[in-house]
Amino acid sequence: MSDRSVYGLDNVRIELPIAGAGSRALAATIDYSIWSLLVLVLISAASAGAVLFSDALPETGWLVALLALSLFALDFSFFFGQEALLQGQTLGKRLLGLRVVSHRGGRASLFAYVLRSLVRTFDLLFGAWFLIFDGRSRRIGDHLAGTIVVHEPKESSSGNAVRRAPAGWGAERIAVVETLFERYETLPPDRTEALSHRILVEAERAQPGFSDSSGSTWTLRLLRSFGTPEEPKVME
Amino acid sequence: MRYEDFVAGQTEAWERFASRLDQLEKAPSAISHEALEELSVDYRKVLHDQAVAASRFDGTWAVAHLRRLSVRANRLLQPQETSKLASPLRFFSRTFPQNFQAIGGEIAVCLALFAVSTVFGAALSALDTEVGTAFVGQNSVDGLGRGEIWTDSLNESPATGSAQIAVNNMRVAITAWGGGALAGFGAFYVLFLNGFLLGAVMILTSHFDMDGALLQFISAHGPLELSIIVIAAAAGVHVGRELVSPGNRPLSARLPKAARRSAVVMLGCLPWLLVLGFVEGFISPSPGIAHGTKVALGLVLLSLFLCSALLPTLGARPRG
Repeated sequence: MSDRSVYGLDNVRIELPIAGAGSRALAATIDYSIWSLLVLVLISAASAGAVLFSDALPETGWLVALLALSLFALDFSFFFGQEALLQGQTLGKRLLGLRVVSHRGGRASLFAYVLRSLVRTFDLLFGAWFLIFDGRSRRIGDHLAGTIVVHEPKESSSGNAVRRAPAGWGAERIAVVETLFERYETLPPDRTEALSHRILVEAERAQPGFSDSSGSTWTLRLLRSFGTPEEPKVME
Repeated sequence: MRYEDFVAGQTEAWERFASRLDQLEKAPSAISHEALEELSVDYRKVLHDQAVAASRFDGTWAVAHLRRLSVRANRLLQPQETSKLASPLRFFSRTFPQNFQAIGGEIAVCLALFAVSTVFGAALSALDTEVGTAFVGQNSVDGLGRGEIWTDSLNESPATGSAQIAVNNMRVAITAWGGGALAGFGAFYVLFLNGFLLGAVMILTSHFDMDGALLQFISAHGPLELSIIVIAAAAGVHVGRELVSPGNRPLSARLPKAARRSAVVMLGCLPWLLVLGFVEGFISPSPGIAHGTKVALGLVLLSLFLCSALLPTLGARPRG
């Protein structure tokens, strides 16, 4: 079993889409930006409270005490709270499609989220080295909590699957067509046309009469020939 | 089997499985027992299809789609590990004492190291008072010369001092524990630093005949506060020990167990540090409270803590 896979039922291997150092650092940057904003809000609120209620408060020391305890609570509950509420995600992780899971790929426990939060200070200092050199991109908190961070699987429409293929075509060629199905809307039209034309020529060579010639563009003919069940989004 | 036949024949089942996973994720409690059983049967089928697709149609949409479904199902269908934090009563009456007693060896080692570093700090400070000055600052030393101790400043705003002390102590405890993950070195560092500081400052104050004032100040909160720092460091050392000692099971399995056990001990100590913050801010610096009362309070707090930690625990010791 590779370092990045786990065994599911019946010992079928499941490859986990482990999140790397880059995406995790970006998610942490987003989270720390939000955290900084909250700290600023807390300090501003305490300052405003001290000014507004200066007559009513017997001593501003209580306000400072409350602020110190609130900042401490925020520091240690910000990440833990989010991960507990959003099932392994913080706002940063959610934006980037990441999630904390157990080392087996299941849901992490509440205690695991606590452990990850408690060593965050050490991870800010040393975690990057662990992330880079660990096969599963785990920081100190992940090692202690027995967790990993994975990319949230994004659903892909079954419209990207090939429904018809020329006789004798193997998985490798089919995969090329499906990749084009998935990406044709984002590629430059002339590039898509050239690729579609080339694929259709190959398909005709393998099985004469395979191509659907009803479309006005090569891309449309390709989509219809390989049987996409959804209405193609290319213009006639 | 042709790829297109494989996809056409199974797509409906995969889509049904995906929509059931959606339901499970949105409202787990709304899923009936029968639906859950069907889901597990479908999961087995998806895993089987994934294995077939991976061996015959590698690189295709079907393989990627089935891999995504498997990863998602693996997360949602595995039972979540239970958390003993759910009930505070159970935590303080059972989980905390069990785990505290399990790291008794590390506590003894850390206590010895703390004592040695205190003696070391005291010895160095006796040889050169600059050692103590480096910790408390020149202004505080000037104050000692005038017969004033720096802890008197806590009387100016006990609430602020109390909160800041509590927060600082909790950070020290967490650092001492977390430092254990660095093969125990972080924990030893915190332990040594605190012991050394205590010894150096005690000798420094004795140079100015102010050691009595310092002892009076620390007598209410000191015994428990220092004990908790030692215990937090011992919890960290417990993690560090697991990192460096060989075991029958892989480190990836042993380390989380050790971390969990030690974190329970450290977390069980944190509420006491809140109490100690209050004592250190309001009672310790107060000139109106007799020294005897402060000593008694210090002993009572330490005894209460030790009683709660050494509580005879019912049932088995922690596993692992």
